[in-house]
Amino acid sequence: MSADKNILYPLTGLLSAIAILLSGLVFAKEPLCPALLAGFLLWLLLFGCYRACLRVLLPMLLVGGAFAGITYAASGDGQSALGMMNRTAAVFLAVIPGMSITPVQMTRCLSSLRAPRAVTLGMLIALSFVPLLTLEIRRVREAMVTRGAGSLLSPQILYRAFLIPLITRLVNISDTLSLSVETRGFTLDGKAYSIYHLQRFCLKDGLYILGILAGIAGMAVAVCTQ
Amino acid sequence: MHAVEFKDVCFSYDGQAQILKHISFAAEYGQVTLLSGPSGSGKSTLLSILSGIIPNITPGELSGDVYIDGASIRGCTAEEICRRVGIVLQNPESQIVHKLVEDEIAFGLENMGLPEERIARQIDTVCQMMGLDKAWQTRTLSGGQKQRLMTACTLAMGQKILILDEPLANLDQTGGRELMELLRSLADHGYAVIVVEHRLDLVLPYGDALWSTESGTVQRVEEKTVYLHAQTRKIADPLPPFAAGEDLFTLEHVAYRVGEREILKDISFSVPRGARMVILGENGCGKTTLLRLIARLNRPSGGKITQHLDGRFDRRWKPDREWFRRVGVVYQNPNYQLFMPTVEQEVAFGAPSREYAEEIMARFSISHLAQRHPQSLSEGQKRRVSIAAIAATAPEVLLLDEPTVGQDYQGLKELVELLNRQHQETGCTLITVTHDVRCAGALCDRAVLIAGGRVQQQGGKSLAQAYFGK
Amino acid sequence: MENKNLTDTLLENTRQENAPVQGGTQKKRSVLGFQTKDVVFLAILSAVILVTSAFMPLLLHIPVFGIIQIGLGLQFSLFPAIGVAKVRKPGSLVFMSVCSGVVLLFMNTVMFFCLLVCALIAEVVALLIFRSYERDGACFLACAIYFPLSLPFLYAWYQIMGGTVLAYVNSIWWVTALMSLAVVALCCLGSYLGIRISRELKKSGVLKK
Repeated sequence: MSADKNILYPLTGLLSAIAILLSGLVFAKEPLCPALLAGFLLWLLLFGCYRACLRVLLPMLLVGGAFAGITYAASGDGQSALGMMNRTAAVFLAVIPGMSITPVQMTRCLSSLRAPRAVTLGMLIALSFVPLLTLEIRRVREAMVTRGAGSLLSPQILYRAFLIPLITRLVNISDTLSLSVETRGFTLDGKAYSIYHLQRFCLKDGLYILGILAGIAGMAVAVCTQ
Repeated sequence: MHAVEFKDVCFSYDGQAQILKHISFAAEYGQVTLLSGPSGSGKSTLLSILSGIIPNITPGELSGDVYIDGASIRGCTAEEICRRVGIVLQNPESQIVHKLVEDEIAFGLENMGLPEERIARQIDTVCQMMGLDKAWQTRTLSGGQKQRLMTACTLAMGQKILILDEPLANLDQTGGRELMELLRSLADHGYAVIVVEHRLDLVLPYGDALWSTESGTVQRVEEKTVYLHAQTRKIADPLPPFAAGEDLFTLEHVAYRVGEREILKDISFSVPRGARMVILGENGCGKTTLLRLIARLNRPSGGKITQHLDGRFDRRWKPDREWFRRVGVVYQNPNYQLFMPTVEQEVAFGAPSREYAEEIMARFSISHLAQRHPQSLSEGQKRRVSIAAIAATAPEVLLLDEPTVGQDYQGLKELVELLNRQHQETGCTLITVTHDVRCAGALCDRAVLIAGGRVQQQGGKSLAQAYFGK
Repeated sequence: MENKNLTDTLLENTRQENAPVQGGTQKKRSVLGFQTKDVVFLAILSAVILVTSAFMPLLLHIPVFGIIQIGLGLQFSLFPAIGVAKVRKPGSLVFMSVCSGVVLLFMNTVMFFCLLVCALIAEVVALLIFRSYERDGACFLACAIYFPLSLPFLYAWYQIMGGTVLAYVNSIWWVTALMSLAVVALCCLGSYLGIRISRELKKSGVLKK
């Protein structure tokens, strides 16, 4: 997932994700909800999250449409279907701020707030190693097939053929990685460290989050006065 | 004063088996010191002690004295030692935690507490030295570039003693020479560079001192050329010349691309039934990809691969169990293919009968390991078990990806003998990817040389010999 | 030669930080006794959970109570069990919950905090009963109850939020009961397999403490 460069202060992004998700779920059945969600999308685009918006838009429409269709088919209720569409859209929109923040931006932000180093390193690894581990899992599954051990009919073999090589590989990777970070001076004992490209909250971030909150407040007022 | 000195050092992980036995070793500033020896002879342990990993991170019983710049490192933490000694470990792919080259290099410098502007300066300097662009995405780097990145990360931390553990593993000959030239120039500027490497032919011209490890001992080698010849002496081929028959695989204008990257462009050759074929080429030229295409693990993006094993396989979209029973694939890393609780069960899995599994175990000399857990074995033993497990399905074709990686001379000789015996007794076709000068000729009736995504040359044993003799 | 200037820059820039330390300094212990290798291993396992849970967004809106827990139950019990069985330190499960929840933080914030609380409760329960993670039973219990504990939270969440799922929860009670039982069984199986595999790999020397 490639992020748009340094667009949002990570904690602002997180806060806005929570706000978008909750407001989308709370107001899902309101007729004005699509307008609110479209406003969020526009706001995110205005603040430079182009790539993430583009990547999310199509899956959002496809998945949202499919779920809304299923709901309509099951209940025959148009409002429920609209609610489902809105809820799905809110989930997808809430992902956009997260996609616009790289793991390193998030960890540097947390480091500047003096979060424990174990947590920042853990988060960094958990997010950065997803592509490598996806590849590892693919290799293990492929190796299972080459040994003729991929059949669902023999679960006793299936789980062994998947888990034993996978865990062995994970241990190898984790041993190498922990030696590498330690020999590059990483410690957990509270030693002083510096932060390269410190993440700072700026006026733009304030404006961004105010816009999101104003949208939610406006929606709440509209709902209450209806 | 030595940059590094070991005096009468002994080490054991479990307090019983001695990994290092009273070794004495030294490396100097201004020199490239080479360390060579078979797998399991104690090289990595020696490096781990020198970099403070042992006993600070990996525990064990250590005796004797280790000095850096004349001062004992006894009682120093790994972090204190790492400020004097930089180490570049193997497997760069498993060590990259950031998405950008710039951030990856900055990681160590942040841990050192360097201010932002000095980190930026170090990154620019080291990127210039290593031919990297700090804006590059780490995920898209080639194996060689990743190796250069990890070297850059260590260099940036500014230690004057550098250790590199098999730095050429992911590099082609040109990349390897470039890295060795850089290390040579660092030594010329006063660094102490210690390199552990199997590919002696490539590193020897750049080394000042050569040390050899064997069974936990370390000795300085004075006669480098004699040592090199001994390490690279070729294994003789016991089999008679091959008489070609019908083709088993025919490759016509095969191409393979991943995204924008063209790995194979135009590959055409055929594999005769019952032949031992060797695929040669530089690291990263697409040898493994080609093997995977033949194994039907990937589909070519252009051209056609025709198999003459059985027409039924052409009608199946994906390779199934039956295909892999007849076409055995042996991975470079045996860990992927070992999963049963004992070696005996591992070999018996997929074997047509218990008797045949026992016969294969005897043929591969692993009967004494029958009750051991496959993952508890040494790397050499694991490789042997993984080949035996595949061979036990009595395949008509055996595809081997770098089967000799990390093997010492004796282990290699035995493995080659086993493969040749399997070939002779079952008549199976062997297709091997290797860049091991010692064994290529002994596993070869036909050879094909891949370069630039195309077949550069085809021939017999003489091609393999000429390729490694260049 | 240009390299001369470059190496001089590298060495000069870090001379102060790389100055030799006399003698040896006392090693300080980290919080809760975690070492770097523990943190890295748990983080790698968390990344595997993330990879194997990649299909989670597809389950988010299927109107069946506990469908997410069914889809993710195995990986959220098996990999934590392997992690806790190796590291065996209080806080391991919570740490994995934080690391594997980073993505959830943006996708489903409620789920993130819910899992964090579940991990805390599971650890407290296991440690109250067994006092430490020394016994496999403690690891099994913590990881078996960790994910099913999210079911009551989920129920409460749907009560607050309403929606299609609530209709199902209220109307077909036996579906809810059946799904809850299935989740518990799945997580027990995952936890058991995790402990079994870590035992085997420990015996073979792959998994070291």
